[in-house]
Amino acid sequence: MTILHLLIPVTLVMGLTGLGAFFWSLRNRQYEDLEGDAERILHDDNDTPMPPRKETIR
Amino acid sequence: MMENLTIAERQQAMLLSGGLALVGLVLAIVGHGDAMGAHGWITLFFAGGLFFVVGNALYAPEPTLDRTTNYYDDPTKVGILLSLFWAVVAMGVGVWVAAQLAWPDFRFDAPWSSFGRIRPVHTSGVIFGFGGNALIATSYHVMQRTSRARLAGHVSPWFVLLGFNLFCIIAASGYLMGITQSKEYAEPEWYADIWLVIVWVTYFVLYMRTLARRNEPHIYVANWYYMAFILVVAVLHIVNNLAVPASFGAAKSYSAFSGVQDAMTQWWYGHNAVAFFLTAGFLGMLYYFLPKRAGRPIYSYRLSILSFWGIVFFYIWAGSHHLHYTAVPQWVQTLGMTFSVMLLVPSWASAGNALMTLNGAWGKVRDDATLRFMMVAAVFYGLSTFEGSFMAIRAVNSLSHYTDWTIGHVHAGAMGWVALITFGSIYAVVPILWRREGMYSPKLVEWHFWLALSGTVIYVFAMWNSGIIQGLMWRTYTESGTLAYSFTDSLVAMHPYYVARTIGGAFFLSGAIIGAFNVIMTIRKVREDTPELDYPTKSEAGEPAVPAAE
Amino acid sequence: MLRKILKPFSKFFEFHARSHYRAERHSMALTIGIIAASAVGGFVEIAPLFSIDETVEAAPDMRVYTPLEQAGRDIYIREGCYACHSQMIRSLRDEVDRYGPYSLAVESQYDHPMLWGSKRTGPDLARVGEKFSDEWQVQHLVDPRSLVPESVMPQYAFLLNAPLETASLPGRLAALRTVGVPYSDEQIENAADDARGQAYPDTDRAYAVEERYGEATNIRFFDGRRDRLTEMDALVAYLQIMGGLTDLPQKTQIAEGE
Repeated sequence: MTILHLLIPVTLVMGLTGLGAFFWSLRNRQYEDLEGDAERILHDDNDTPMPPRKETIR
Repeated sequence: MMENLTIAERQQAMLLSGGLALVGLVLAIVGHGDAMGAHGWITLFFAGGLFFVVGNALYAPEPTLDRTTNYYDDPTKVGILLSLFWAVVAMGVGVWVAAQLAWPDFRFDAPWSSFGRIRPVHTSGVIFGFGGNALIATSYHVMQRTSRARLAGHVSPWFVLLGFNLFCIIAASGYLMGITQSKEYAEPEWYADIWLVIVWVTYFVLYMRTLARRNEPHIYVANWYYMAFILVVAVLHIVNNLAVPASFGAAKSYSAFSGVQDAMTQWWYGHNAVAFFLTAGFLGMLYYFLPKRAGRPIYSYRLSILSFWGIVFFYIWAGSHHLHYTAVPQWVQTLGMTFSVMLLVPSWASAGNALMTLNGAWGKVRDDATLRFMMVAAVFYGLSTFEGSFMAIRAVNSLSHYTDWTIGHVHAGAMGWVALITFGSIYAVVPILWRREGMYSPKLVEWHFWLALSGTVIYVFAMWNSGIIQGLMWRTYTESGTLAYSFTDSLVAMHPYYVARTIGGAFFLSGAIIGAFNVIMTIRKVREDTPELDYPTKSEAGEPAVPAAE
Repeated sequence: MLRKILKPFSKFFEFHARSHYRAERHSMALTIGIIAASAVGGFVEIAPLFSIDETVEAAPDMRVYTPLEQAGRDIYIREGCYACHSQMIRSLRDEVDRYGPYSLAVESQYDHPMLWGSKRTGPDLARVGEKFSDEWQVQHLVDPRSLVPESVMPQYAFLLNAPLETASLPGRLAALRTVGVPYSDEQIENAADDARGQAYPDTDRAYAVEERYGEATNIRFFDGRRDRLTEMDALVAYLQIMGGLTDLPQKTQIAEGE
């Protein structure tokens, strides 16, 4: 099972990346407004984007 | 569609397709005399064709309006159509290949038409052709809507979509020619694998860039699922396909791994392909289109997040349940089994979440076939994940492994969950994309639903029966302690179930054909009479949907 | 009643509840606690990694595929035989009774990639080598239903007329060596000749094969034709070596009657 020398580190890196992403999401306040997030997808009446925050990239 | 691209973008597209055509030419020359040469020609024609299509419209009028005031839906539309095309082709091959098990002479007297060669055309065609295109197309749609921002690129979405389809074409044509690595769901050879990496990295970057420019600070949960799908599939694909070509002028390569090591890698890949391609990606679809169509928010957003992290962390370890009682060490098998059983919790969290979302909207489920597709998909998702966890238990697996039960399980998931959520999402998104009131024929959506459901049920019941019979026959002893049945005896017992399964598949295929027809008619025609709406409008959000028109 | 019994421990409970409450409010601490708790399981599972060398058994007589057999394997892969046939006998009594000693890890050590399979529409082939004569194998491949009327296997008659392409064999063996199969320089250089020699007994080429791969190597007119080296030769040569790469299973397991 020498393949585990490769697979376990790869999986651990993937797991740690996942964990990192989880912490990022916590810090980035992704879980602040769960009801709003669930409702918001139902509210794009005119099916157009919002104006971009930055310079328009064409 | 050209009028939505600037001249600079069209030139970029020509550059890319020209470059790809050159690569095709090189492959054709270097691979001359080997089957790889044929792939060179296919690439040359594909890319060359694109080059001329874009070139012809190079100086067509440029877009005048500020494009950021609209979503970019052209790639999504083409992706939906490609997905339906592959559905019909790949499910058609599926029915053919199933028929061969019942009637082995149902083929041509030519090597390309044998079971072993056409089977992967079916498996890759449905997973990557039908499923992959649907994922790419719906992810473009969902990502934009939930971010309230336009796609972060105009050439890259096409590069991803069309490049991915080139991969599918190379895969399918290759199998017929005998080009295969034999690694399940990773059969395409080394050059196709390299191409997919390029396409996939582009997809990932496009996704990240679009999310980065989101106008909605919170990333909707569906995007998490899509992101996991894109990222993990990339890692799996790269590791599992590590191989050394026999020569750079030939398609044949040899896996970097062998024996036990390869078995572990292959099923680490194979099971996670199911987990992240066929589950996480389609959960992304479910979490957007089901609440949207039902007009109700997800029952518990919290639960969807928990389910996400649970799936992401547990699934990776489950692969070795494909290797019970084999030459892989026992502790590896146990590890896979344990995580597979634990996986049931986050999986049912999602299935339950989806069904609870429909609480209070069951009238809509009754009246709206599109929503019903999604609801039944969630039910089958719960069923398949339970079945999967159950079959991952060593004792159960000792009966089920190598039998048709595994096939039944695969198709309960593939037909019942993946295909149904895809068709539901397609029926939900097509009217929006093409600005129609509804599908051309709500009645045909109903027909499709019942054909799909009955096809799935017939197929799965047949395979449950044949699989368990097979497994039991193999392990039955006579009173004197010898094996009671020869292998051939078990094969003979399978015949009626192979026939039934072909019929189930044919039902499913007919549904897909009807669906493709319905979508094409929706695009081409606006009905003269206003049909009864088949989806709830805002004002009706609290009431049952209007019954489908006759 | 319960309260009386637990009273002496109340201080301990208080402390525990207070620190847990503190940890819960501090998500980092809670997370680290969870990780530490679950890591114990992880370490327990990683420890066996250090006994990895015992996983793949040592079989001193384990041999590589000859060029002809490897070519046959490549044809097996090309035709998708793995879709219906497995090559992994599980450690279950009925499997051992039906197919022979259960498969050991070492037996597929040089299988790049492994062909353990995941479905048995047809029987397992891990030990099909030398169970049937060459003539039976050829006839079965040409028309399975002529020998097994109930079979659903496709016909592969065209293999008898397809000349075996041998020019690429040295390159293929070299690629295999890159991924760990211990072919020698001599074996790689002479791969094309050796493929031919293995299907033409009592020729100089055949003796050379014996020298390079051992006297136990099967050297026969596999497809029954003496005039051409065909893909059928290669495939039958491959099938006839299945289970014969090492004697370790037979030596270490008590094989029940077949």
